[in-house]
Amino acid sequence: MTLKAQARAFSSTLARILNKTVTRGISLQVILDREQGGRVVGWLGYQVSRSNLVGQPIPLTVSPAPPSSYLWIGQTLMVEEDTGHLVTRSAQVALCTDPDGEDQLFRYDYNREPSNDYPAAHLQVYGLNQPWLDFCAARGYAKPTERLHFPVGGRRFRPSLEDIVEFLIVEKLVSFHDAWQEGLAEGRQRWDAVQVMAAVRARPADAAEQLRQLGYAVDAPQPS
Amino acid sequence: MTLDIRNSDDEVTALSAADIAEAVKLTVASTGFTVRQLREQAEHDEFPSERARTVWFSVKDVVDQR
Repeated sequence: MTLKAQARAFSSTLARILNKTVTRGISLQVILDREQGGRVVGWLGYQVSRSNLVGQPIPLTVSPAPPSSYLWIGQTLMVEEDTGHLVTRSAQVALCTDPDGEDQLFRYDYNREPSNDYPAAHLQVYGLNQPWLDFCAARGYAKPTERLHFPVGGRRFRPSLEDIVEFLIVEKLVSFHDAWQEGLAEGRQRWDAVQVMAAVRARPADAAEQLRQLGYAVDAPQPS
Repeated sequence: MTLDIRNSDDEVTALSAADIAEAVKLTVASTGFTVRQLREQAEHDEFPSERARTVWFSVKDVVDQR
């Protein structure tokens, strides 16, 4: 499958999940570097364009009613060296109350190769927590909760878009389609399969051992 | 209610390296800051806007390799 076809499949899958759950007829766009000259080869998001590689927050509404919140989804894409697959290099999913994304409630961030010590996958929550502020003040520093990077499963087991959408729905933070569970189940099957295959590639000996315990005959490859 | 799951506007645009450079330039300009200013903001983990933060983390790999 060409890089362009992979990108189209990627964006269509994400849009389909959203349109079956918390949005109405939205589409996502991808800008690709056709020369693949660097680590980042693409940008994916809502209304991503030649002049706006990060796009705009997606209005969360399933009817003609105006949205009361927005989801800012942005991803950079890269080609995985050992598989040639288009994969996510970095991603953000932020819940906002304004169409420009400045008033954020929380944000999930992921960076496959972080350039700092924070967890590759983390959650930042915008909120006022007086005991926390008192705790910080007693230690001589000020760090509001949105500056904290709560770890969320690491590179391999981070929350999926489906998990975040489910959170929004079950907490009754957004309106949603009646058949939302079907939309999430479909997306989860894909996500789980991709993550399991990646985990097996990362830990083949552990995967083989587990398969043997389940009764499979698994042999190590012959050295070439 | 009938689900509206159209993805008809899904679009993938492949650009040349020169066009990507221009796209990065325009995206950075949309923040009202320069690359140098965004880099300094990142070093101090103090972005004046969420767009500035999002733009920086989306383009910094491209900017750094040039």
